[in-house]
Amino acid sequence: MPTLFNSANMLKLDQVSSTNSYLKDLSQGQLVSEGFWVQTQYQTSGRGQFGNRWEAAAGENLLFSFFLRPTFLKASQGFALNMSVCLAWKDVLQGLHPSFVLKWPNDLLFKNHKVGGILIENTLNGSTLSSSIIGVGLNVNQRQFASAKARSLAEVLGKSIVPDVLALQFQKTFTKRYAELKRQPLSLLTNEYLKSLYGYQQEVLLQEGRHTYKGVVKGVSPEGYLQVHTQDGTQKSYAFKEVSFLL
Amino acid sequence: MDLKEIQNLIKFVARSGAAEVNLETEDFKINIKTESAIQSEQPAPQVISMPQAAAAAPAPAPTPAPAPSEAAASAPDSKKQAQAEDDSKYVAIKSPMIGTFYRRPSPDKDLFINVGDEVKEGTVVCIVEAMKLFNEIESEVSGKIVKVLVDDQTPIEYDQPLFLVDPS
Repeated sequence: MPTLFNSANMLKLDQVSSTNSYLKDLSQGQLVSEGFWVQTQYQTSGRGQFGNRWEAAAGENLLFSFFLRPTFLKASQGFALNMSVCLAWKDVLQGLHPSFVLKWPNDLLFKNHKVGGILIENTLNGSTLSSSIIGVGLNVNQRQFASAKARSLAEVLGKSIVPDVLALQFQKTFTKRYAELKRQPLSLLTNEYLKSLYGYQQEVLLQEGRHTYKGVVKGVSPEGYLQVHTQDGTQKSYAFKEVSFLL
Repeated sequence: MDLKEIQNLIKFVARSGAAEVNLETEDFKINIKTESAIQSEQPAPQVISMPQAAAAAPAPAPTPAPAPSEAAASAPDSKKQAQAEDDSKYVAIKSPMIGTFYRRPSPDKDLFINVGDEVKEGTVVCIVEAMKLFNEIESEVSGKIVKVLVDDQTPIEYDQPLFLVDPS
């Protein structure tokens, strides 16, 4: 089955500041087609969430960004695109081991260790999405991390994996998930996302400001707010950064 | 119910995922429609209606949350009115979503735009972050930025005016 991606629409760079920034600059200067893919061995200033750096050793990991024109989505439906990217990764990773899960809103975990993350940057025109750059950083064969909570697939699975093999698998699963995003109701997508979500219908430790408590994830709203039932029976709804999971 | 409480209620409803909430007490009646409900109709701002009946109630009538376009309606202050008339020739760039407003692409970069800058259709004016998704907002009008209505890195609501543009 053909995927959204093909080798004529792919750039592989030894080193780049950040694949998302590179692709964004590229797309501003020329017409970039859907599925255009930029991959690198090493990012000199990889980006996490606003201003955070993403650290990855050279050649050991999978670092790429790709370009989409999800003009069928409303500005407020960006979270649906996020869920379909997460589910495509879930498909790949759970094929390797059932203990891979998603952490709201878009981290990739093995049990309670972070193995990867996603950074999505959209451009909105009026009330619809005009373009989207999806960046992915997946720890594949790296063995040492600055953060105690980070792990690579090689560490948790006990074997090395060729990063490009994972990229090819992701291209297939995302092509399928993206087609589903276009035609399936949001509720189906949300249900699948929840089923693979860390803390869903399970008691986990959460932190809100300085307050730590036990809670159960009950759902996500269409806009992506995390809905939590706390230990003492109250219902909470959180935007990103208003709450964190204590892994 | 004061303005703050109404704002909190709107926020709560927006986050609940509900499409529409009607709340009626002795003194007032409030109807909140969220983005999802509005989108299925037509692109219109969040509606808070205070029906006439409320005015007849003995309790002090609650102050309606002013719609952005009629900001001066309840303010007899002539200066404010003049200001509103001035602003009426400007076009607002509004937020298409709930989120956090950023005026820079990243903390070490320059502002996207400032007062006095010319924008064209398609010029990126800000980023709205929502659930770790970063959304560059493009201007839909051409003109000169005359006012920035929101502070950097603060929460914004759906349809909230962010910038005023002088299209002339």
